[in-house]
Amino acid sequence: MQKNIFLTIKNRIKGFHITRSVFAYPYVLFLMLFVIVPLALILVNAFLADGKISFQNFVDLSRDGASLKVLGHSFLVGIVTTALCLIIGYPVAYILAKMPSGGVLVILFILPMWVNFLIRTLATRAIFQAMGVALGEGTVIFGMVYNYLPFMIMPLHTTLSNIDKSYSEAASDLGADPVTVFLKTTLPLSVPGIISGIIMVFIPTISTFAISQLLGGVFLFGDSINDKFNHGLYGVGSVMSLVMLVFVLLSNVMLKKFNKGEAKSSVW
Amino acid sequence: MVKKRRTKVIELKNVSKSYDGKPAVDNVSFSINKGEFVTFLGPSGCGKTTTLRMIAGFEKPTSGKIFIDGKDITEIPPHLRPVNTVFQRYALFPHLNVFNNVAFGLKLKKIPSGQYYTDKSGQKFEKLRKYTKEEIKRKVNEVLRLVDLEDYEARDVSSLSGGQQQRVAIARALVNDPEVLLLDEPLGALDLKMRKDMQIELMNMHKKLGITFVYVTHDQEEALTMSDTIIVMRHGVIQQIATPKKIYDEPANAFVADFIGESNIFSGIMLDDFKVSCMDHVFECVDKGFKKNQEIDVIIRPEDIYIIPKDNHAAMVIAHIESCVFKGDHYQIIAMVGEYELVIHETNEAIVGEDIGIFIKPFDFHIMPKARIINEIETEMVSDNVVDICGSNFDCNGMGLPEGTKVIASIPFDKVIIFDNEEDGKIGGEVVNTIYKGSYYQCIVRADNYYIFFVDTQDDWLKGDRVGIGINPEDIQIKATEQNKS
Repeated sequence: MQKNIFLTIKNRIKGFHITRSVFAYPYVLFLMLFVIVPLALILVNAFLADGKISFQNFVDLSRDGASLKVLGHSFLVGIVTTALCLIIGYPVAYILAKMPSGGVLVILFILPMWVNFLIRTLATRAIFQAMGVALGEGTVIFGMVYNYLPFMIMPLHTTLSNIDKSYSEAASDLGADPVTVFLKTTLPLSVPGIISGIIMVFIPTISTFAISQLLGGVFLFGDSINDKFNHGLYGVGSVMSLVMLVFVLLSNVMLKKFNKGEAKSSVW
Repeated sequence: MVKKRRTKVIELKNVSKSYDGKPAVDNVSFSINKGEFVTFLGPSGCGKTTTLRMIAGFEKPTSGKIFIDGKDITEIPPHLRPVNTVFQRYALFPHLNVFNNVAFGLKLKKIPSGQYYTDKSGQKFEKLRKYTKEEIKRKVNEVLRLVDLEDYEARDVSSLSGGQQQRVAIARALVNDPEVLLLDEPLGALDLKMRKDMQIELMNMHKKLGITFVYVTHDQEEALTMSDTIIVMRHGVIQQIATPKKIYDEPANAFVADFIGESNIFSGIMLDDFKVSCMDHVFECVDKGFKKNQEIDVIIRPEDIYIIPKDNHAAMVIAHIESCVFKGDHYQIIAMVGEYELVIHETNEAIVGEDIGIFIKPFDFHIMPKARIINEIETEMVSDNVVDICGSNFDCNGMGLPEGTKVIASIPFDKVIIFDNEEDGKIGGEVVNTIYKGSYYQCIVRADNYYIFFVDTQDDWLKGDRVGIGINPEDIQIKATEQNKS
């Protein structure tokens, strides 16, 4: 009998092969613990009010005019930041992609990302204060653009430098002047990069917190959620997180649709 | 019949292009007539695509001038030139469908509208207008019919096969009614069968449209089939401009002969007019006007060699058959005449090991002067008995010439030693070309400072290989140049 058990255990061990999927186990475990479980907790908390399952939290939020206003404001800040990042980032990425030494300069643009963003933001605030600039909406947007610009430049640079130069040659061969070449070939062909740049910037900005508070005491949706949790309002906080999540997913889906999947989206 | 008027469409005058000091196209001059089908032919890296790109306007010549219709267009950007290009990998716009790809040029084009206006200074100008939607649609449909793609307007270009993409690329260029159509190896990406079909279609299009075609290819058969005129290039230098027949029958030099079709190339000596010595025999030929005992190259096409019984009185030499391989429509026979290898194409099978007689008609010996008979380098003495060759110091017999004397160093072809390992030689270089000359290989090596060495060796060196070059001191001959005396 004893021998039998021993044998089965031995067989079990023998049956265990190191396959490729085995290497994914730690990651799956990590995902479970730190992504799935928290999401599930948010979901549970959102529908839990006074220990009972109800929609009370949703009702509370819809009546909370201040929070909704903050949500709208966050979107506005997110859109302005993204637009500014695109307007500044596209020419930069374009120039970097065209220049032979572009690769080195790209590193220079990413370099600030290696510094913790809190330290960067605090430093920015110190600079503003030293210069006597009043903190407010403007400084918040400046800080956001500064923080998220590399996330716009990187995907744009990848896409732009991967566009075969024969396309622009073909366009100019067919009679397009340099401006038309850009508008009719380079710009449409760089749409995948623009899309992933927007995703990379817009989504973190609408949910950001800390930057807004540090650089101007502006209260954004991310701050609002943070505030709710700090005050023990787990239910409403969870609902707000869910709302945020839905918006992020929606914007993602919309952008993906717009992209039509013509070119493979880049790694970014 | 109306007298054929030959007008020049394109003319290049002393055009050179170099990248970082490396010459890609070297002092090229030629002209192309209206309606001609001209092919640039040469191995990769010979400068043919660069020349085409300079005509299209994508590259600016380092020096020289390009004319289209007599107008200097050297400085004019590509979008203002009356030429259109079919690109090697088509370069179809992936974000546009077939219709919009083809209509791309039309939508940008401005044409005279028939209306006039007078500006402030009283000059009269004709107003320009864009094509209307209907005109564009009609033109696109017309050209799509020409390339057999009538019902494909709405298709995504990525959903098309290689051959179809090729047709769209041709349609996109042709729809603009260019004066000249430039084609950069357009059939390179197609399979053999498709390529043959497209060759014929392109020829038909050329006949039908009467547009000048300038075609770039490395495929000699393609060039011979399609062109009115072939321009053979090597190292950025034009080797020969002639009709396909002339290029094949009368190649200008050993390189052209070797590149165009198979050939037997031997070193020989012109003993007298109509008398050539090669393969250790003396043959009758139809060439004259060479210097007595001038060293020359003899080229004999494999299909011009006849196999006859060895006891036949017409047999010029006796050869020993080494191998006989069936090639579909002929047998490729390799026969040895003494130490010389002879490639023969015959319709009848030959028996390996047999001795045969060889007969060649006198006019099938193609005689051409050698490009060079010895390597000569203009340089100077570094010190007594040391000469500078391509930036390295070589020991030699300096004949007492002092340091700094300008000299010419001569090295015979067979005295240049090539090393597999670049480090083993004194100078590094790249093998540019190797031609088999019946009993040895003549190899052309470009040293790093661009002096080109001709080397006779027993080994077949691969084109593009890096090699080392060495020379024994006793093989370098030194002669002081004239200018020292003055």
